[in-house]
Amino acid sequence: MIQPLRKIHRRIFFLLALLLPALFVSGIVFRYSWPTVNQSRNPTAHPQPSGATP
Amino acid sequence: MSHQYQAIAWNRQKRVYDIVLVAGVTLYLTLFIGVSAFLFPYATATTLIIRAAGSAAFLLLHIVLCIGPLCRLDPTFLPLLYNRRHLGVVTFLLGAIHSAAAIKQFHSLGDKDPLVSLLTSNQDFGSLPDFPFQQLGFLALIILFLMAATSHDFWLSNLTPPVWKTLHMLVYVAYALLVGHVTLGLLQSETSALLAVGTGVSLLTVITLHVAAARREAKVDSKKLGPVADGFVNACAVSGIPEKCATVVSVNGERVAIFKYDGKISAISNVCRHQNGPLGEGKIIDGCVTCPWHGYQYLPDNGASPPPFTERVSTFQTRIVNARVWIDPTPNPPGTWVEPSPIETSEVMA
Repeated sequence: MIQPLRKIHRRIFFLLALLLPALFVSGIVFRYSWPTVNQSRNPTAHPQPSGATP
Repeated sequence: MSHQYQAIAWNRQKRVYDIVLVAGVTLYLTLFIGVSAFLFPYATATTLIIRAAGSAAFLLLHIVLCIGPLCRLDPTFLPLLYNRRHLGVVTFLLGAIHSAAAIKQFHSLGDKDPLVSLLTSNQDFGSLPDFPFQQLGFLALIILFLMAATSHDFWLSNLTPPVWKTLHMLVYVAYALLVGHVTLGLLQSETSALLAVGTGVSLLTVITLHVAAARREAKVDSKKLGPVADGFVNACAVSGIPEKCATVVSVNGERVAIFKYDGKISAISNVCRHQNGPLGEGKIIDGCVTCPWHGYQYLPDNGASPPPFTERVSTFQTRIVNARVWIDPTPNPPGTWVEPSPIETSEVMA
């Protein structure tokens, strides 16, 4: 009873172990701007008030 | 256990578990919102809620996924497994708060219905940086909802453990969707290296723990048993089984827990009827094999839960020859009484 579930679990996880790092690395590599140590520049996160100097 | 319906069988351990859980999540949300409000004074309250709830849900899901393999690798972590379902329900609730706030902020001000807007406003599936990541999060939320809604033992009993387990394996699909949601969403707009590194390390931790636990499990399944004689297989040495504990062996693809207790040997299926927990990793408490996951109990000589409970597992014929335990690989029907094999003093010393 338990062995088929174990096999499914193993297969799913080995598939994810290959796919997820590939997705993560691709997502980082193909982004428009590379990660920096600077603060966030996401305008929706903390928009500058009108008249402020960026 | 299961002899009559109770919505929640509260006990001290469950209360402590839930108090720590709620306190931990509240502390995280408070600190996150407080520090973020200080660092980003122009962020709206909704933005802070989106980020606090979303990051808490993502972190909690990592903890949920790490508990299983950690318990396989080290029994010290077993107390975390006891109420893991509560962690899953809280993960869903945090995800639901995150989604509701995101839909309010990004999809509720137009002409379209917010849900229609969520599902149709971005259809750029061919671009990684512009991928419609919100749809991924929405799908993950549906899966987390299904899991949270069926997390109660009522559903476990009605769906049967194999079906319930299969349904709850969708957590890996939800996790994959959420890694995509974060990678193609937050990590595209946020340029902080800390976030990218943190997400990568979390992903690596989950994968490493699962692979390590799988390797350990595979060792048990691939271990060759001794020769067959008279239909019995040579399973293990009597002296290798700790008192009131078990040695687990794999016979014909199924695991058998061989228990030593009070000068006797009995063998039962290693699979608990409740959630397929590993009985062989439990102990004999008050004369009963006690599942390490949720405390379900079985008598070692007949595999039946003591009255008034009704769970039963398969038993196996055993014999002891030259200080070695031999077992018949054919399981008896669940609940079948089997004479325990007595251990002679000389065999214990061997």
